[in-house]
Amino acid sequence: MKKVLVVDDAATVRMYHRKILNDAGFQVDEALNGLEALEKAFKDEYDLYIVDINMPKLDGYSFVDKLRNMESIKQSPVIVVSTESEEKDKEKAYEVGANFYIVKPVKPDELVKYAKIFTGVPL
Amino acid sequence: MAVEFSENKAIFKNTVTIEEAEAVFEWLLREKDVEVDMIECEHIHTSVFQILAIFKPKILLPKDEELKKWIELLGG
Amino acid sequence: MKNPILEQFILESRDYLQRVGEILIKLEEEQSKDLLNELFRIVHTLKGNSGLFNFSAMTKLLHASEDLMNSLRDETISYSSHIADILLESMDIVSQMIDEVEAYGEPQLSTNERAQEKALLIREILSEKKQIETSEVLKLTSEEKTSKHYDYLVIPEEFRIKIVKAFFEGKNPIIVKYMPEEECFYKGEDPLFYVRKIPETIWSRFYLREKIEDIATFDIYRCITNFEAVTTADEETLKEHFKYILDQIEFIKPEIVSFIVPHGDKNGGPVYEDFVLDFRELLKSESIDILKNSLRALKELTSPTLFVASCLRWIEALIDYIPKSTPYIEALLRSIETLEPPMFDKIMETKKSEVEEIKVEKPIKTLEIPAELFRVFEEQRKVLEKIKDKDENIRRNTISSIILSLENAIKSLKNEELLEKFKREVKEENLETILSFIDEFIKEEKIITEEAKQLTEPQTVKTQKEERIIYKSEEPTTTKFLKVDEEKVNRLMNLIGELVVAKNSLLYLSKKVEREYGIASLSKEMKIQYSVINRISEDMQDAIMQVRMIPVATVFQRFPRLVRDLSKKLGKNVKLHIEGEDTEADKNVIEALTDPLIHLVRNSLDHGVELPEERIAKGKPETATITLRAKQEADRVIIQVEDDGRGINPEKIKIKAYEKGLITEEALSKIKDDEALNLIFLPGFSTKEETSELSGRGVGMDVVRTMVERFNGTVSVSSEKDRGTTVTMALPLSMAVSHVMLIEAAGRKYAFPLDVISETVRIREEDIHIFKGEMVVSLRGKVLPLFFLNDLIDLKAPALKNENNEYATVVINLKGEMFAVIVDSLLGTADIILKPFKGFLSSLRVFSGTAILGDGSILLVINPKELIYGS
Repeated sequence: MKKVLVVDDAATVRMYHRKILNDAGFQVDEALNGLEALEKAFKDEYDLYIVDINMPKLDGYSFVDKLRNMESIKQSPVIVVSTESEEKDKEKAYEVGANFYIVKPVKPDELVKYAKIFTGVPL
Repeated sequence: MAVEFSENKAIFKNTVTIEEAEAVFEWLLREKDVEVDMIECEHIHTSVFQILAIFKPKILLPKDEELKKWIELLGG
Repeated sequence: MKNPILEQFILESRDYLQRVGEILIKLEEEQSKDLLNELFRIVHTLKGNSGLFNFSAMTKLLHASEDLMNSLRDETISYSSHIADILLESMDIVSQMIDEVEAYGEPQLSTNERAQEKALLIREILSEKKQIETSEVLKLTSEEKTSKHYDYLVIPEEFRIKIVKAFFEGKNPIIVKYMPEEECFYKGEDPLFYVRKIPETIWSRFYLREKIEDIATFDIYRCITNFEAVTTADEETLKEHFKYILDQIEFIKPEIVSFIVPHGDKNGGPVYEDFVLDFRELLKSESIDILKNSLRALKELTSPTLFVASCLRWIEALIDYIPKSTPYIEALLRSIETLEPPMFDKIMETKKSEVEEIKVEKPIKTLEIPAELFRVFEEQRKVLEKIKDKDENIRRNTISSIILSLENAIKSLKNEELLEKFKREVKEENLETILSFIDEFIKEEKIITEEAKQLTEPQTVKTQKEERIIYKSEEPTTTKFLKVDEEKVNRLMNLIGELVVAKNSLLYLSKKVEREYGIASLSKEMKIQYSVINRISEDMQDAIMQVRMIPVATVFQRFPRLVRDLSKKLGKNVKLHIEGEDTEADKNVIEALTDPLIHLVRNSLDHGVELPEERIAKGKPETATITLRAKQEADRVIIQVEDDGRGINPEKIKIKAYEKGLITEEALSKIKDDEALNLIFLPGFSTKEETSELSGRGVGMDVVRTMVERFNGTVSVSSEKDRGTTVTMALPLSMAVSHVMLIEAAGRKYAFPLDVISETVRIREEDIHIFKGEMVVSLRGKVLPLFFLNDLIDLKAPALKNENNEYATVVINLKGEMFAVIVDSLLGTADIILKPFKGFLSSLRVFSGTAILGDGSILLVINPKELIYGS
């Protein structure tokens, strides 16, 4: 079973993503912010990160930037999910090494499709 | 009064308000083969308008061109 | 509320809102960057969360607040108590919306309005202080209002031509749809007046949004008229015009091509090929006069009702605007040749730049490769380009994440060949190998997929033309939800109904095989097969019923507003409580519920609930509660309207029923209180004198009963003085199988619902007695009234007896009252799908509906209650 880390400070969003991904057969872990996500990534191996941008302590950009600087962590794909819809926000995410950018709110089937594509689960 | 009734004819004048709706309705419910004279009429409240749309009585069209268009849409 | 995510949202939002309040108050005492940041983040999160649900007014308000906070953070606006007030008020509104979401599942209209207003106010502050381009504000209010679906053909051609001309004259016609709320007359509104006063109207119309079944009971104070208009006034003007009723208005910003729809008979008329050829040549010369002459000549030869004539009229209208209109004319010329609708999709005006991005509907999907996968590939390419020049660490790690992403994407396709190729060609240390693999993949696979042309998906392409017309291919678009014509579902229902009936013959056959041919083993096998088919057909039936099920929420949702408005008007304080709105029932049943429910709720508001002072005097809470409740009980849906008002006095009911001759003097003294209450459902009970403005025009409870019974439902009332009244309607969940007894009368088949039949007996002529002029029969010591079915349903034929000179008789038990009905013969039981009569036939109350039998014949199902009491 593929393992996804959902990083978002909003419990509603975490729950929403968890439900959608669980239903699609993913194992889901949650982190409340970038810092917690980084800690989890050290301890555990994830197949995919789904990351919010605006978070306390360590925001999404910084998290991806730090992740892509870590040798010891598996370099799994990162999907950024953000409310910012401007091109410059997406570019900023790509510059630090995110693999994909989706504007909130995410449609459930969309999220599932991309999660599958990025983790190699047959569509 | 903006509405005058005789047995099978009603005359609408000036502006017919919602106050007349009940009377118009009762009259149309009661009488058959009626005619509504709207020649001097300038406006009718929506409630009266929809009553006419339901009963589709014979209507003498108003002089007011713009109202006339609406009355023609009633298809009486 | 069942949705756990929504529950979580409510919980979390309340925490956030509380924190926002705290921060806002603290900020008035001390300026703190940290607090501002936290504030911004929380509101941002709230906005994001609200976006998960369809609470657009809430999202808009939060978005505006967020922008305001952002301005506070970057100090373009300084914090003041005025700003604090606005933010606090905004959060109060959000807070109220959250409460309403919890209570009703969504914010109420009025709150949405307040949110919109507040959002607009904030936008104004922002634009004043920051001089934001107004375009952003406009974008916010008008973004969702462009090119919605609209049936343009309701507009007559002459007006569509006028509208299209307006486009070419540089105007932007807007379609205004005005759906006045039912209660608008009570608010002193006159929709027709507003519509007549719309500036710059090109066309307008009205239509009644419901059919009036019975004119006499029509509530003249209920607005049922919708209006539509096309105007060239700008949106701001229109918003000002409709400012107090914006919630009932929809603006559609149509595209020009939507109006250019030639229409008419496609057969007949002269040959047009030469004309089209010539005309194309002339078009190049742009000589308007010659073109017009050429057109006029042909128009005279063409009957105006033809499709081609319509095309010609359109071309004629467009000629004045050559060359701008040339692409449209070309498309119309093609229509003359093909007799197909013109195939323009979008015509774009280019700016000075040579290259422009335009959106085109383009097929890029196949069954094998979804568009999302291409996007993933394309995005990886973008990421690669972004990180090319980054630090070694980031670059290397990101590249490995990209390779992993691409590899996984290919794996998700289950394409081994491609995976091999990927592993062979792509080298981690060589960025170029990745880029060229992506490019090749997109190029090749896309070509293949385009050829396959399965689905359409908007995609961005580059074009270099000045003006360009794009022809749209005629492929069907696929969506997740199928919109199905109700008729098709009904057909399926009928077929399944037949299957349910036809399968019964198998059981019969198996019995025959055993009885007549003595092959027990075959008979047993047939029975097994029968049970398999039986199960499948039951499942099918269940599945099709599910398709038709909708939640009662669709009816309930209109009530908060209704109760709010009417109670205000009556000067009563009423809280509406809704329970079980997720309960589902058949679409027909739900639709049938609407009118009775409105009537019952109005009754409660009007007669049930007391004025506040009266309630206080009685020691009751000042605010009354009306509860709308839905629940499922077995195969019925139970709908209750409950109020805690003054209740109904059974004594008064009895006396009134007696006065009206609805009950006898004997019954008056004997009747129990709860029975007496239910007398209100008798026809002729409620009269005009006691109607108020609100409860409508003397439509009594008998109408409620009739409507409910039409759907095989029941209605009852219970009440306690000063404690309140509850009306309970029970309706079948769906129009599922009914078990009936088939009988024959005068050579035709009829059916009785099995649940009212207590037994079937045979009686002899001499068993029949005449008692006080009425026929009776004595059965096991009980004397039952006896009727001939043929008399009851007016069949001009005598009842038949069997070879033993006996009458076949059905004994009916209606809530304890027994009757015997003589029929010609009994044919046995069957499962049928009962369909209630619609329209004119619904007045035939003696039959509750029809069913189609396995042999295709139509069966009339008798409504025993009407059969006995109706005649």
